[in-house]
Amino acid sequence: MEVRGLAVEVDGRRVVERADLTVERGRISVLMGPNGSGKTSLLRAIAGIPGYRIAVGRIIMDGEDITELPPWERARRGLAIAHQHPPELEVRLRDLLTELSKRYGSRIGEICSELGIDHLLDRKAFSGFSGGESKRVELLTVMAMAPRYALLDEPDSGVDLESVKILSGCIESLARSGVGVLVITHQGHVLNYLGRLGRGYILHEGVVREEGSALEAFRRVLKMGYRG
Amino acid sequence: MNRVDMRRVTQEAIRMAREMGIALEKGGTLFLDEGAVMHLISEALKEYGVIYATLGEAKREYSDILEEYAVSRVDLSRVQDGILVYVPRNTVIEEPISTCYALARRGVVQRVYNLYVAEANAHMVTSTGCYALTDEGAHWSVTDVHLGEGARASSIMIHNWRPGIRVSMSKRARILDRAYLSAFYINSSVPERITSMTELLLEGEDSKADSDTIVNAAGSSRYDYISIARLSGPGSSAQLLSRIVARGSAEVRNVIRIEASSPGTRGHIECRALQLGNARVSTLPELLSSTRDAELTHEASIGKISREQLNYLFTRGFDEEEATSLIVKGFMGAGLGRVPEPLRPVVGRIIEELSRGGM
Repeated sequence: MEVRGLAVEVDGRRVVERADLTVERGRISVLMGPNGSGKTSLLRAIAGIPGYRIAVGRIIMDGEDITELPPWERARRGLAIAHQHPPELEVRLRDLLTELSKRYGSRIGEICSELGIDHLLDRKAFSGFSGGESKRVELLTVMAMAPRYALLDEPDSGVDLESVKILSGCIESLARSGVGVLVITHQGHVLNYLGRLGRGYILHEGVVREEGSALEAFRRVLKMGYRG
Repeated sequence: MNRVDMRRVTQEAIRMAREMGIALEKGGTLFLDEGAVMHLISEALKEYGVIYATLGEAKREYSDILEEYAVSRVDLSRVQDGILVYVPRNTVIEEPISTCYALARRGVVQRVYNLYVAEANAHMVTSTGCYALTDEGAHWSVTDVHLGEGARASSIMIHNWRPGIRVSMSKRARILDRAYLSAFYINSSVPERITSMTELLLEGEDSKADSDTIVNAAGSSRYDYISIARLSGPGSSAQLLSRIVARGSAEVRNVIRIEASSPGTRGHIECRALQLGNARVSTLPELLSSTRDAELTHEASIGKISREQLNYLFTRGFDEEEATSLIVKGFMGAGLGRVPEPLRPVVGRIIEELSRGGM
């Protein structure tokens, strides 16, 4: 998937000036940037969420321009986003997962057990879930969509190391199955457990720039900060 | 109506009942306008000595039961339709006892009186469907329930009216020591107006009642619901839950009250409404206590579907209509776990239909 010269506006205010990035199938690319730099807005604009307006630029997914498509059409074509803070839904988790499995022909029964979320199935999705539970469930809903591309907004924030390991396993298996993954991470915990890393991007002062591989980009940020 | 028309309309009424999950052909009673056109009593009911009679039969043969157990004052000489169900002491009936009331003739006024009696330690499950095949008419009903000591009753009532139908119904249940009533009501239709009054009289020690009301209000219909639980038995408890989805320009008024007058009583009210379109909804939970150690709580909310929920579901591939339907289904189905097992598939299927915008 290629994002070309994307500018994003929220409430009439430009939050991303220019983003160029490539997400390769079977690889895990990483997007970093300081708080408030617009990373989440960029991911939401790529996913097509109302309120995140693409002012300039194109999004090309496997050769198709999806820039003008509504979010559900992007999702149906294989673009999934894992939200950083999924909202509490008026829908039982079991029903949501059943709908997604039916719609996308995915099988997630075993993964449910592996992720240790069986006990949440009869509750409203994300209602009273702990931070770790929310992250695991959110990733599971992405997997249930059997996507071609997955945008993961801080899957490792606010969760313990054990959960980071479990989540990393899922992300790795997504990439192994050919999904192109783009991960936003702050702490980089998740990078310690991933083996199929692709490109690294940094979003700073509204502009996305490529900084070599994901690991190189992360080390640079650790050493020199975002301004370096 | 000639005989051929009558047969056709009866078949249509049976088909509609089946769509609502009530299989009359397996046993049950169908009232069409002002009389019973079908009254089948299963072998199991006969074997257990259950009385399942039309009101006409009951007036002739069981007037003593009508007199002894009635909770409301009704002049039965002015009532044509209705049933008497009497389950003897220690008798457990698990199959639902089904009764349907259908309006078929234009302009008809159907007057109904039902009496359900479960004697001490008896169990019964009842399902009732009320619906219209015509666009003009009225349905007026009074239902009394008497639960003896330790008795249990599960009931489901489904309303499926049409525009131009006026409905007035009242239900009173007397619940004695350790008896339990679980009542589920679903209205998925657009009558001209419906007025409903439910009164649960928890007179017995440790008696208990759970009531779930689901209303899918639409069109320009007007809906008035009043539910009251009177906790006069020591240790009695009641939980009154309602979920209303209001669409179009419907107007819904929902008053729910729990009155506690005996020690150790507990009550909970939950009324939630989801507004779609320009509908008007008012919910009024009321708690009254004249005893010191009653524990009464309530939750009430009226709201629209949040933009966050819709946006989230968009990113999962659901368009606006599908996302709304999924949320409405979740909203209305929240109490499904409390529905007694024999009735759960029926309610689940109805909620599925309703979430798509109608039945």
